Amino acid sequence: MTLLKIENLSIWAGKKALLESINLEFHPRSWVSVIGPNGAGKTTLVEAISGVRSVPKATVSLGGRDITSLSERERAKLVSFVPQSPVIPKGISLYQYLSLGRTAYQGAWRTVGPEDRRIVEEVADRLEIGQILSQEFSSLSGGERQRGILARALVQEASVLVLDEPIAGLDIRHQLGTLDLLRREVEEQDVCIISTLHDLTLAGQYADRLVVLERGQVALDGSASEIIRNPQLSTIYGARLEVVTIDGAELVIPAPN
Amino acid sequence: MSTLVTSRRVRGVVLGAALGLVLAALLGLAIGPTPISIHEILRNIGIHAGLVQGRVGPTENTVLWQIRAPRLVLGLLAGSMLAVAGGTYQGIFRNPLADPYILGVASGAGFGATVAIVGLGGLVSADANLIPPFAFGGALLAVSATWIIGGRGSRSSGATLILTGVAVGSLMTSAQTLLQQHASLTSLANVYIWLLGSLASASWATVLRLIPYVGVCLVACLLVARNLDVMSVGETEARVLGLNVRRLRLVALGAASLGTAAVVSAVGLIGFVGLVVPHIVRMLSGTSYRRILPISALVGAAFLVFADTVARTVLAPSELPIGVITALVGAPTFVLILAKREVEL
Repeated sequence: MTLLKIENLSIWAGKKALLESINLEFHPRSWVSVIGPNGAGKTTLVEAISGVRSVPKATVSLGGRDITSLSERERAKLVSFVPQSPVIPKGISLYQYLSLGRTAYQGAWRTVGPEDRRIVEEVADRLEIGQILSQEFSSLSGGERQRGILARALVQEASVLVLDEPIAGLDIRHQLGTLDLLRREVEEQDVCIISTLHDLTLAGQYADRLVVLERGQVALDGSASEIIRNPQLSTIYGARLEVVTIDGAELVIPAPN
Repeated sequence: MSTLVTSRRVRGVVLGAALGLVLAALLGLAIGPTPISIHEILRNIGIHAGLVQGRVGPTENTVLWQIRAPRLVLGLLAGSMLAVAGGTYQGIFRNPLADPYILGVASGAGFGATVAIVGLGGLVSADANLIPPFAFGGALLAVSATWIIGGRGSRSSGATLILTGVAVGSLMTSAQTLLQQHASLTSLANVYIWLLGSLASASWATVLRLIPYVGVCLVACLLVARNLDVMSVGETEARVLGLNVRRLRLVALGAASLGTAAVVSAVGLIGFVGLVVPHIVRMLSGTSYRRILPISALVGAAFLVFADTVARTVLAPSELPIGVITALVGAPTFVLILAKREVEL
């Protein structure tokens, strides 16, 4: 089953192609990480598939429907998105923040209902922030806040979860915590995660599949363990990379000269 | 430290605002050249409602029902509309400096009113009766221009709209200044008096003209309050969450602007209510627009009626422009609250 399909997608900024002839398919229960050097088009790609950026007709389809034909509400039920630096609103509780994730399920007249409440509480418990729901969101610690942001995307109950650099700015413990949590969502909730990641080692360890972008085009696409060993990767990044294995874990490191 | 507001405190704020409104209304009816005691007012109302037996004096009746009551209702309508419109603009633009006049309503109405007061060459001759329709038309013209120029295109954002509003406003103001070059001193004075606002022209006819606009626009603003809360995460994330931001902007700004234009055409440019009242309410009752907007309606109505009572009393028998009072009372109150609490601006 294909959740998300990109066909011949090109996005232009003036005469410069940010993305050029992209063709990709995404399936449930998989984690695809989009990697590539700075300026390769990673953020443009994740914005295009999450509806943040408008795309030409018949290039991106969600659940078999063209994304440009979907209303905001319909799209939000199919794909959720966590931007690189989300806005942290002041003066609302974590619970109220998470409830925002249910916006697409609420009519113009209806407010948060029992079903919404149940889902918010369930996701909060799953992410171990169920005990702090009544606290003010903006006053939470960085790690709790990150969980809150992920939880808001999860209560949207979309089958595709798109994240732009989900671990940027977190310390190593919270980086691993966040990635473990996302991995569990893939395994247990059957979602498809599409994320950009800078750290090649973590991308190789957590994602099932890596898509390597280079100057707006797909340069490599394959299973994570295969891609990190591909000699072309060094050329694309313009730096010699090597894979070393320590205790069964594969680490991508810059090769010593 | 948590700055979350408890629902108990919100109930207190609502109760306080409602009591303040009743008090402001009673004072507004009682105070004037012919003082009427609150007891007499209540008795008069009781007799009219058939609850109390008795007779009322014809003078008292006329003063109460033909002079003060329409003025009171006009104040309630104008105050609640301006405060709710200000809160709505602040929510849409996520900008604490937004007030009901931000998209050019004020300068458009000012231009329209000036045309009516000064005349426009051989096209329009000066006629004070034309002030309300011309001010209304000017306000709508300015806001529509702002919307058409700045609100279209997929890249249009709140910032584009605000900047367009500034440009359209400047254009309207310069057109108004140009008109004034040929005006007599008397009509110039009239323009400035109008600009500072007054409820002196209140009549039941004015009130009836205003009710449909204010009624519809208030309800529309209150209905979008929940969506304004979603906007607290910014335009991009609100869209990701499934909110049709463009439609929300159209409905909210349309309602707030139309309501403001109607109010301004009836009472002139009363400043500060739309800026200060939502802020005070936000500090007392928290950041949710589902609380801010309805409570602002109560507080704005009470504040304007109170200000009007002061405006027509302090220099009696002459009247101060109400805009002077709203600024005189509003500005220091605002500064005091800002200084006392650390407010996120």
